[in-house]
Amino acid sequence: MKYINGKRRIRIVFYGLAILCITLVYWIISHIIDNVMILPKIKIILSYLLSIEKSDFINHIASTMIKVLISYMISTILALLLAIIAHYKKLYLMINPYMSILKTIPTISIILILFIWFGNEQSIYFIPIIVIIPILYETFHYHLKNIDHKLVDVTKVYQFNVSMKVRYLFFYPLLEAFMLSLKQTFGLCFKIIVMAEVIGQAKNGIGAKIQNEKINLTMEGVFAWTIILISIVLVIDFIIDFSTRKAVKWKCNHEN
Amino acid sequence: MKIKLSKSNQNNIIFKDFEMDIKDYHVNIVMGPSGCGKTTLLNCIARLSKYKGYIDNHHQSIGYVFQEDRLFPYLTVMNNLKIIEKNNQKIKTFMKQFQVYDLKDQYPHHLSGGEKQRISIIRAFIRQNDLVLMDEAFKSLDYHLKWQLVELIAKIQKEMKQTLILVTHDIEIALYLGHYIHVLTKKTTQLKESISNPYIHQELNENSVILRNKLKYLLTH
Repeated sequence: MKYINGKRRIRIVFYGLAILCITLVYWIISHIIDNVMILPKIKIILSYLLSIEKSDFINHIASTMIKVLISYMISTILALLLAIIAHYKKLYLMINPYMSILKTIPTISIILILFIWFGNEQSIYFIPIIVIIPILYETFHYHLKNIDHKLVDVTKVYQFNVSMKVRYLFFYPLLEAFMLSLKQTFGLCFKIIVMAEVIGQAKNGIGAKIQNEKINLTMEGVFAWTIILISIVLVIDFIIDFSTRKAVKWKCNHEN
Repeated sequence: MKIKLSKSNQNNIIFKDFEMDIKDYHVNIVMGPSGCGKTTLLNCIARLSKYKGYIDNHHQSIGYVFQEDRLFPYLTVMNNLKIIEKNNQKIKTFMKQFQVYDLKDQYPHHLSGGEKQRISIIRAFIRQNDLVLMDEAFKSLDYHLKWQLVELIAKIQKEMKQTLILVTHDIEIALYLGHYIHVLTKKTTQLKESISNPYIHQELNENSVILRNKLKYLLTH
């Protein structure tokens, strides 16, 4: 336990050092350039951050977060359903090519096509779904395909009922797969939503604010909202790490 | 339990009209050269492998100690046992008997091969199974622990009166634990000889040495 705490402490120290370094580099470069339109000084960004109204701040963040959560939930459910269908009905031969195609389509093409088809506001929900489904599908399908047949024998010998089989053969491995891919895919979903908000000129959301500040040529606003975005992603990463440690204890214990 | 089966695997015939009589409520040892189909035989009895013929297996519940531990990696030791037997007190007693109670909150990854094998043995015995199959269950254990467990299993089997089929290469274990010892031939597998063991639960003595030598001969010729 002491060892893990020590390891975590070292990680925090290095995290702090990295932030300090980049702040210092930014501070130096912004003073050399000395142009608010290119690289606003830290002091200006901070004063912008402090000037953001609380209700405005919460509104935009909540708007983006809701979009992320809805898209991510739909992506997960669809990917899981597709993986189950692919596995049990042997339809993977048909589904896999679609997933490969979805994976290779550039995100920007998806964004533009969906904007044309469904309009800007609605499309924002679909874009991350299309990008994330193939990743989650692959993860789920791989884990379903690689269910340990030795454990299947155990469930047969000890006459597990259906709910026990689902729980002990499928639920835990899929939970493990999901939790381990959550950090990567959730972060990706967040970034795509913000990008779609920027390109689609959404009314609300972090992306909408960034786009708005860009149009108004308020570079400190763009930087400030980017910092807010990074902070949110870091907090979410921390929450995901914490939840993963709790949800897949066996894996984390094993790795530690 | 009467067995009469044939089984082939792709181009190999494993069993052809193989017949064997397993004595209920006794310890039946199955011995034979490597690759002769001992594990396949256990899998057929456990209804894990398909075969032609019949196994007159009237046993309702089966416990199986596989060659590998086959514990659920995402469950603690305690939960691995809880999914088989709900009675906590019984689990506790068994774990203490097998000296693994301190490991109850550990995940299988943290256990040594011997510890995992002991949990696997507990899992097979804890639910009053009618039939227990053991496939080289003592392979990964050191000498001292192996004999501790052999004695413990002899005691449990005596109390529970289960039918036990144990596959082993260890003649000493076979002589100590087995009421009946069945020796199989090499491919295509047939029953070479079934021997009733009068020296069960006894240390090796002048008389049992003769039986041991006979077994050695049967296994090598």
